[in-house]
Amino acid sequence: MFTQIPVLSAKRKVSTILKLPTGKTDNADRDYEDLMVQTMSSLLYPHLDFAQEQSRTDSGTQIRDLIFYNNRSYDFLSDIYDTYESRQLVIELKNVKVLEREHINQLNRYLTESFGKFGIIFTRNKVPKNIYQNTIDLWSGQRRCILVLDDSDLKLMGEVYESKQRLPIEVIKRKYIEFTRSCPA
Amino acid sequence: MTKQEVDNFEKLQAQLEGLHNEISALSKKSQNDALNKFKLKFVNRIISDSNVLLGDDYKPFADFDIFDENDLPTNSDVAMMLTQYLSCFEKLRADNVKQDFGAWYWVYNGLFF
Repeated sequence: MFTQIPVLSAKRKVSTILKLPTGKTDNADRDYEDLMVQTMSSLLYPHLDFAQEQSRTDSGTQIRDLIFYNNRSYDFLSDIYDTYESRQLVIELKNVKVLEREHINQLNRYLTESFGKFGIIFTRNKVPKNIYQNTIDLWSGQRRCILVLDDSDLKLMGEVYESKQRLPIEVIKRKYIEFTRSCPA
Repeated sequence: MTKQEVDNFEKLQAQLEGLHNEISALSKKSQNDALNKFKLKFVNRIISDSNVLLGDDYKPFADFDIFDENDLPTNSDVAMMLTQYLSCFEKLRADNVKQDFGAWYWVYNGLFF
């Protein structure tokens, strides 16, 4: 039976993640992924059931994902289930300084039938404008939705998890609404 | 301003001040935390009533009406906006009162009351 990590522990883990350097220095990428797996599975519970973490290789790059079952327990989750057939939700972790087009493409290639057409990338810094535009173009052309969340979103998720004023999943919903507002009508 | 508008003004100003004190205290504790939906509902209700009273001439920002709960406004966002509304209430009051015999009176159609 899955149990959430305590608030204090989550706070500490988020704080450690935010202090990690980007890239592979001192195995920071591995630490980022390990801490994110522990943190996200708790922050998003019970709205998303953590299924598994998974490693795969794409074009010679090792990629770690978090996979959640979408049990449609929240309005936003029902929405992405209906719109993007998102039966399982993939969160890809990228401890990079700058997100690149190839990172979006790697997740896009992975969004097959079992996952639907919706995915999330967690990275460290705000997504560059041209890459954000790339995700909008992907929506326009293929009706695929890839959201990019960064450290500021993680920080807010940690804060609402602690204060219990709002739900961490609402931070993802906010990003989704921002994204849909940017998409052409 | 009419007598009814003055009554509304005084009620809304008191409510705005109350909310401002409350949210400012939260903001000092954790400025980047999101305000919960319950509080936000009442903040929006008072801001919406204030927009009607202030009208386009006195509203703080032409492109702001109420907070969108999906945007997860933070304590400091809400505290900042409440400060703006209180300042605009003060401007409306200053434009509609006059001093006579050492006391301040509301002015309505050139009359004091």
